[in-house]
Amino acid sequence: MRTISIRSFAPTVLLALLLALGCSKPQPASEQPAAAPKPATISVDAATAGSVSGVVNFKGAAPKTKPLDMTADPGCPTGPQPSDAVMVNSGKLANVFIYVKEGLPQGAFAVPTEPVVLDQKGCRYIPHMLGIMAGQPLKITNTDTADHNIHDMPGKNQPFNESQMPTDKPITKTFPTPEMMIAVQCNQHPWMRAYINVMTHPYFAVSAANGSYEIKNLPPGEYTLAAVHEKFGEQTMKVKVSSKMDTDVRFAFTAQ
Amino acid sequence: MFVAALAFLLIVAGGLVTSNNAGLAVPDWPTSFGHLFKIPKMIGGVKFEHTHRMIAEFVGLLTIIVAIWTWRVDKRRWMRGLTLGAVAGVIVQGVLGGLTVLNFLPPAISTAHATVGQTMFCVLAAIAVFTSRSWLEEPAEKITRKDARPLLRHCWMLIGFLYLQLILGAAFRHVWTKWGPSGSNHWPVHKIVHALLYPHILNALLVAGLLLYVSLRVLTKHSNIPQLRRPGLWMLLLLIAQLLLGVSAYVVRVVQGINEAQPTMSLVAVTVAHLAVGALILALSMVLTIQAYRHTGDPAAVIPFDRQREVATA
Repeated sequence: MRTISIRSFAPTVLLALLLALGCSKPQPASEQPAAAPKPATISVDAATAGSVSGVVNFKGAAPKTKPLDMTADPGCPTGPQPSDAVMVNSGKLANVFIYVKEGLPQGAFAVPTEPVVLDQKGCRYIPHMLGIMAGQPLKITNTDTADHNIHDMPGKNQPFNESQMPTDKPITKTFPTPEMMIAVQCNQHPWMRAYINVMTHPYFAVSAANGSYEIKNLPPGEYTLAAVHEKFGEQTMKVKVSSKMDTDVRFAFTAQ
Repeated sequence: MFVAALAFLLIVAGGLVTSNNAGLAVPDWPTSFGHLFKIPKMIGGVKFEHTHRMIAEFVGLLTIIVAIWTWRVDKRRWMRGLTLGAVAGVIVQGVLGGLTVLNFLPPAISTAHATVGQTMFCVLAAIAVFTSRSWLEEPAEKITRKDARPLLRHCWMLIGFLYLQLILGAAFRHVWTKWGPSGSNHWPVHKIVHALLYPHILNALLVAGLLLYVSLRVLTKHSNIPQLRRPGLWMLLLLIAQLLLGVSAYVVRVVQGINEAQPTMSLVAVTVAHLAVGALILALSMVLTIQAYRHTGDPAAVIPFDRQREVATA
């Protein structure tokens, strides 16, 4: 009798664990409030609009990252390649996504029809970090000589995984639901990684190699500005934007 | 034996797919880049994923051949049923592999794929034992029923805890790859470690204790029976290797691996070796249990196989 109960133990545990894993859902790293139905499109008066600009600093010694080894594919660059996960240049941090988190007027913002381009070049995603409005097209191109697959891993939007040869036509995708930090990866080249941020508004920017960013055409008001980095998480800051004025906002990240 | 060895190679190939994060390098299934038979360019992640698929197809084909051969020449009804079950298992395993690709590697399906894969390896190893020459010979030495009962009880307990260990380990790897730092990054590392890795480590202690007991019991009380001594000794040696590999896997993945932008050679080697040794221990535990039944003194009371009939018809 005891033997029978032991033999039935393993399948029961298997079933319980699989059900538990199957029922659980991934939680987004940082949540952007879902867009409620908005009846009217917000128009911003360019004559009174202000802007936010600044720089993202990195305090302390930049974490050492191993150079990438891309020799698995002859179509990729040879020799050690710098990682794009943490890019610190003279104390300035690149690839930080800065966006208005709170404070915007209620309503819908016009969605651009011009696509945001995500290219695969040198066996990297360019840009590494990008923002796009919900419903705006994302055009994925392959200007490499290597084959790639583009696999995104959203929590709220529909995932996709498609291969793209160098001669293939661009792939166009849209993300209907706002979502932060959707990881994109190529399973043929596991070092390739990008992040997509799907927003309800156009007020976002990505810090450049020198850490600088700018968000233009903001209506005057008080906002919560957020800066997100893939390794160092999110910081927020209260800012006041005045008419026709540029507000200088500086973020600073430190190694964890 | 050859098919079982290939199934082991298939487990290693599957481990290489997960460790190299190449599970979705070929985005379609059952075709590969739209073709059923054309071999794609074997570079990058494609070489891991497509090699795994090709070995899987070969193992599937050989399992069907084994089943046909058994039905033609083997009169043992339970053996026929077992090979038929192996074919069904191989089909289920293939479908699970396809489902996990088409659904973007959900950890539940990937974990089931890993678990069924190792189960199929055990089934094929058992078929190898049942078709071996020594199986049909009358055992020279036997264990008394009194001695067999605690051994068998602990063997089944060991198999149960080994399955739990397999499920926890596979779930940890696949959650890490899908939702952890190697994937969407939706699950923080500490959450994955607390939910799956710590239970895996805790269960490892239980498995180690049970395995130690079973092996030492076999080596001290039944060392005169080579069919028990050999798996018992190998299990003991593999346990030492597995514990060292487990600690190494923790270091290369959790301690060092978080900040790696791509799978390192040490991560791949250690995790695949950990998985492969785990599969061997599970299969050896199954073989030991089967051989313990085979070498028990009172066949009518304990052995679930019709030995008189199988010897007569062999």
